[in-house]
Amino acid sequence: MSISADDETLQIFLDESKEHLDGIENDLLAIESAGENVDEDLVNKVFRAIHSVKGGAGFFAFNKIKDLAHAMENLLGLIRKRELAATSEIISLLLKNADTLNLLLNNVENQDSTDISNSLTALKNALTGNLPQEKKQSVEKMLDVKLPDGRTIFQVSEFEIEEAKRAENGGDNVFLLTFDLIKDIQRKDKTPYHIISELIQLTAFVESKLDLEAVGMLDSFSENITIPFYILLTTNMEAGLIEDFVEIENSQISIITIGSGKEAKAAGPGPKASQPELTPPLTADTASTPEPVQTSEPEPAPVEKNNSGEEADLPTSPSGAVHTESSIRVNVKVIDQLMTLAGELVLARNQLVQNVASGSLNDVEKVSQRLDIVTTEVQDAIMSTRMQSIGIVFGKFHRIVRDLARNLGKKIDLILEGEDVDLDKTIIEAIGDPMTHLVRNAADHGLERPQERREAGKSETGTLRLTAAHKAGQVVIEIADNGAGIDPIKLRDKALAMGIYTAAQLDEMNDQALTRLIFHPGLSTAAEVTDVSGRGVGMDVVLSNLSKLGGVVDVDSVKGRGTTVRITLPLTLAIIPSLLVSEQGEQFAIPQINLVEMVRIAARDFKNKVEMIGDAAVMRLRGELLPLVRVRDVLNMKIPNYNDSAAENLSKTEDEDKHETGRQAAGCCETVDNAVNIAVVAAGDFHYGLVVESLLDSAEIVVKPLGNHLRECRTYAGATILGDGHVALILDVVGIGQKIRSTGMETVGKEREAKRITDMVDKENEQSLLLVGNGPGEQFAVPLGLVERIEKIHPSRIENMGDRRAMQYRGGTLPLLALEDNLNLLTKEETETYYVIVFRIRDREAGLIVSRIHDIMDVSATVDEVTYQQPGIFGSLIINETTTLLLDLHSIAAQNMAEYTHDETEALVADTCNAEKGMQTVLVVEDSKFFLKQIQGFVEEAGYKSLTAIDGQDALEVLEAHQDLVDLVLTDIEMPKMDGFGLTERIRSDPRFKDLPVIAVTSVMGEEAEERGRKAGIDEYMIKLDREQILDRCEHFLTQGRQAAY
Amino acid sequence: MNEIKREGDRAVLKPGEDIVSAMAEKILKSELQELLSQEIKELEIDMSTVGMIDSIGLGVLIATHNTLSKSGGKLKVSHVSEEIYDLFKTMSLDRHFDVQAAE
Repeated sequence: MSISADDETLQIFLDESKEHLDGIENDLLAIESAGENVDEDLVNKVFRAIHSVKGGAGFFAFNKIKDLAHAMENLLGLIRKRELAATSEIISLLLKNADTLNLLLNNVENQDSTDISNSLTALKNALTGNLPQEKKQSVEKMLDVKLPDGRTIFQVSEFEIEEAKRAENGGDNVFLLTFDLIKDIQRKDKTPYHIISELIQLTAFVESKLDLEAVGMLDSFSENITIPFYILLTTNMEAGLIEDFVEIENSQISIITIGSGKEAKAAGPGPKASQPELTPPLTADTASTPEPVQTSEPEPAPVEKNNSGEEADLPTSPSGAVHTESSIRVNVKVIDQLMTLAGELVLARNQLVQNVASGSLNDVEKVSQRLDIVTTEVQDAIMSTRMQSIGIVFGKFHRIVRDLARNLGKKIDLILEGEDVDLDKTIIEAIGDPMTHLVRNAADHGLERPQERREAGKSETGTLRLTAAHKAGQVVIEIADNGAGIDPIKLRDKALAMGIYTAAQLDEMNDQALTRLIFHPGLSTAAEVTDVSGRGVGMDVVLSNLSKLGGVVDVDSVKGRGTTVRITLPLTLAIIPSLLVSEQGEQFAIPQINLVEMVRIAARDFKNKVEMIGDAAVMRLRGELLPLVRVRDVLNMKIPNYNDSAAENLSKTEDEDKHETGRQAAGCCETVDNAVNIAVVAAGDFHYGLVVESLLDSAEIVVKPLGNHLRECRTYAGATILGDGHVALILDVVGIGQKIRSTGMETVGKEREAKRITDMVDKENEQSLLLVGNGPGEQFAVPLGLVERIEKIHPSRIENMGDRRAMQYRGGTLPLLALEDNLNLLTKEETETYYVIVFRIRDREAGLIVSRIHDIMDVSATVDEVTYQQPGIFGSLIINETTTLLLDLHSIAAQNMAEYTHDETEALVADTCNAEKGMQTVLVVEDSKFFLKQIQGFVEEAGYKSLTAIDGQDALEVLEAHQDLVDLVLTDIEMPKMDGFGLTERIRSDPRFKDLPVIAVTSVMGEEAEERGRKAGIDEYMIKLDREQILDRCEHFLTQGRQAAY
Repeated sequence: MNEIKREGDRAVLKPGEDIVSAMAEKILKSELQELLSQEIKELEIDMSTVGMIDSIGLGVLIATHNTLSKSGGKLKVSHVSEEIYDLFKTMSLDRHFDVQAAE
């Protein structure tokens, strides 16, 4: 039998069968876990799937597939009727045979080489062993469906007929349908397979046969030939319906009656000549029936675990791998959309051709817009035909994990999330293997045996969680287990023993870097390579395979807690959004997927922001140090007559002054417009800055692979052709990142770590300030948190009434304050416009007139509270080498209008609305006087009473003294004597205060700190000094109480 | 005219025209009958000159196949035009005897 690829019918059958089989693995597992509570729908679904495979296979004369499917179907029938429990042995048997079916379907041409006799025996034993005695016989009892001429066309077991009668869509009517291959099928533009497919939907199909024998021999040949095609089925439909359905006449349907001696009846009114009958074979025929299975053997649970040598018979298919499909199913809507778009495209082309021919260039512009739109839509539509949900890959893992758990004697819960995330087909196909490897790894090396888990104080069942999610145009897949985690020390020892790194190098690595060593070829923490994972394919292969897909792999592991492998993948490979940059007249593309942000530094700021650490340039970006490299250095672009010695310095600066080098670095990076363009890119968790000459544009580029000779090049990821026909190389951000890292940038990383820690401490006192000017040369700062608005006004708007100033503002009068009125300061500069800083005092607004607004800055507020001490001034600090006075707006207001604030205080007591609020007291704990004042300020503004304490110890004393008064505690974390954690712990342990809401206001961030805070009993963790937010939370806790947070 | 080549128990028959009704039944059938009576084990029908085949023609081919099968022989139909090849496929006849499309 020869099968060619162009055989459409066969291809349809194979595709459909694979589709059917795809789902049943998980369904079988679900049936197994349902145990006693048989979900009939589910069993039916599996039954139907196998049944369809059987039907098709029978027609194509794939007898092995048919027999196997048939035997499986029988077992499933029993499960459905609850005559057979879906034990894990039975399910294993079915799973294994489903694999075999898959294998056979994937290789229909060479079926003969596969021996399924053992599988069949096992299935049959399982069937007969679980059947009641009387039914056992029906399995053996073969019935012949005979034609009037005495020829037997079908041989089916009584059991099979009985099963088919009770099957879904089945019924008591047993029909034999006779088609004429020429008249009923070929001339009606059908194929036998289509007829079978149709009938399977409606009836319980038993068997089909193309009866060439009926044509007879050459010598008995007559002109009136028919080539009959028979189908045997059971149904609850009447013959008439079937006739209509498959378009045959009633003479072509025969009713089969079972039992010897009984006459078969034809369905139609006129009895037809060719009346088949279904009789048990005569004794003489028995020899021709297949060797009966020995039912005498008493086998209660006939499926043995180590069933003969079956494993050896069949090459076990790698069930985790998603095999490459040659065809794909596409929603008709998408096809329709594509058709419409194709039409649009043709129209646009016509327009373009016409316009170009007539030379009307104005219209060309319009057409190009149109083309642009249509092309984008076509691209989207075509992409969507290739998108498939990752569930296809995830689904396989139910089975894999189940089998692994059984083999390894572990208990594993598999949790899948985000199965509906769509990915490009090529990626879906390619991630199967790496993911299988990772899952195997997690199950084998990650999760511990039940006993070990119990000893470690964990539940016996380990959890393996696979998640997929969209994140910023990428797909993030996580494989997380809560197992033993990776021991960085072990890896370190192994790496040392294998001589991959020197001890000194290893000492420099932090735990995360050590953990990443598992991606190194040949490294594994497993004491020995087991059968399950580590079959030659190591993590290094996983890494390189995923990198080929443009993916990034990260590992997070906490010893004893588990391991998470995070894979970040692009949605598609063919077209990627990119940033185009240029260097030395050449254009390069940086994939958007790697791009974090773009920074442009003006030349004058360069020395502040760029420093040299070792011989590497780094930039300060929001408190982080970012290694910088110039594209031209990475690519070794030689610049003719390049005489800027600074460039040399960038690479070989020694112990020079940092600022000096910084400036030199600036010099070399400067472009014509005196600014430096930096593309901040990410290679995994490693961020660095690429200094480029100019940033051009963002564009969607079509990736063309580099030639073979450049395959190993780690600097370029590919090439693309730009709109103007030029070729642009795509920079391999990950590759360049590795290059940088290997050339001593690690030190930067370490410095960065150290810097982060100091920054964290610094941030504790960091504050956003609004810098303003009033008199010449004087600079003042106002905490930004207090500023409501800034209004730009003309001096004429200020109304002077006696010694008071005010302006009309939003339908009311806004009292205005001037700095020189009360403070001993220079007079305001005469300018054309003034600025009014509107702030809130209690529940009224007031404005402060200043002459200039300088800047807003985050300042580490080391406030000198002595030198310039006077009412209205908190103190002084130095910002940008200028002494700046920090204004105390509240005290200025109080000074200027004593009665104003006085009124307010009275109003507070008198105002009934605020009465309740007024009763509530907030204890503010803060060691910095400056912050203390601010927080106290806005707490009081909001209408609460306040008490203050300068550290935890002090706070406890205050609490003790006013134990009934305090309703809420706002505390800093970092404080002398007793910190915020300690304070909260003490509060919680005291029965009097345990229900007191505690809000931490701090800038010590990080999950660890938050976690610690939560443990101590802090109700809310406020990261920044955000007045609105703090007040909001205060209000929340004061009205709802502590429990409200939960 | 039908061309017949013999070589031991193998034979190649090349019909001279389309295998339709009269021609099929009378000439081809009798020639085949005669050929098969001479203990042929492998018969190849070379269809390179055949552009059409009808139900009777098909019947003749199937009958030939049946006759050959009975005596343990094999039928091969070669150089089948695209149209006829599709027909064989549709009717799944290619699963019963060897059908080879024309190059």
